[in-house]
Amino acid sequence: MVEDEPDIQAIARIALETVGGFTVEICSSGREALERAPAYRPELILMDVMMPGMDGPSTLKEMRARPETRTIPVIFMTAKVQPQEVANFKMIGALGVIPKPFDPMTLAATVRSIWEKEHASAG
Amino acid sequence: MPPPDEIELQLAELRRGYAKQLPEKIQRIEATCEAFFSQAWDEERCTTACRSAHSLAGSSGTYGFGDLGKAAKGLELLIKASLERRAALAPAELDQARKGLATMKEMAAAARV
Repeated sequence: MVEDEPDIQAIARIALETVGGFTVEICSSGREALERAPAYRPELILMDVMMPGMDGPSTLKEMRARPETRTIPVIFMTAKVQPQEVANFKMIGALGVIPKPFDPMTLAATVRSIWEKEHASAG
Repeated sequence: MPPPDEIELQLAELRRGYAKQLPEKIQRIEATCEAFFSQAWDEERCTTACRSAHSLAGSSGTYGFGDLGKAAKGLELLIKASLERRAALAPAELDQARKGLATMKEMAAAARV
């Protein structure tokens, strides 16, 4: 997960690990994610859009340009969920968009649903 | 997965901690906003104020304080408009922003889990 806000990191960890059964590694910036992703090799990245320094879309574009991170699926989390905004995020390669604020009890199920939909369409 | 009750307890504990920190968080937002409001327009101060309101808008809704999140979002949008037009808030907007901050302080003081 890539998120700069410690309060969101804390509640998302419970939502994804405890409720959802995911193994979660947290990066606090896009730059940190770019550095750590090649070694950690996440199956999926949940990424905040508005972060200081390198924002979510810039980080995703950079990931797509690098061979070692090109294929990692990325789901954005953002309050920017107007249809045009969502379309723009998908156009640059996001798998899906989860609205903020989110419900910690259903976050993992939403992530899984977006992820499985992609697997189904790819397979 | 742990039993639902246990998850609820963990979330409630997290929410209590968050609620306890709210007055301090709002105080910090107020300080960054006043630094922006009270001086000549400056991009860095404007961005900092906008980001501080944005952070609270995002986290408070997720922690179950939806009304506070909406108030913070209102403040964020006012400051974002100032950032986009690269000009100070108009007097009416400034008044609205300060009223929003006062409401947020009241909400934070009353926040309970």
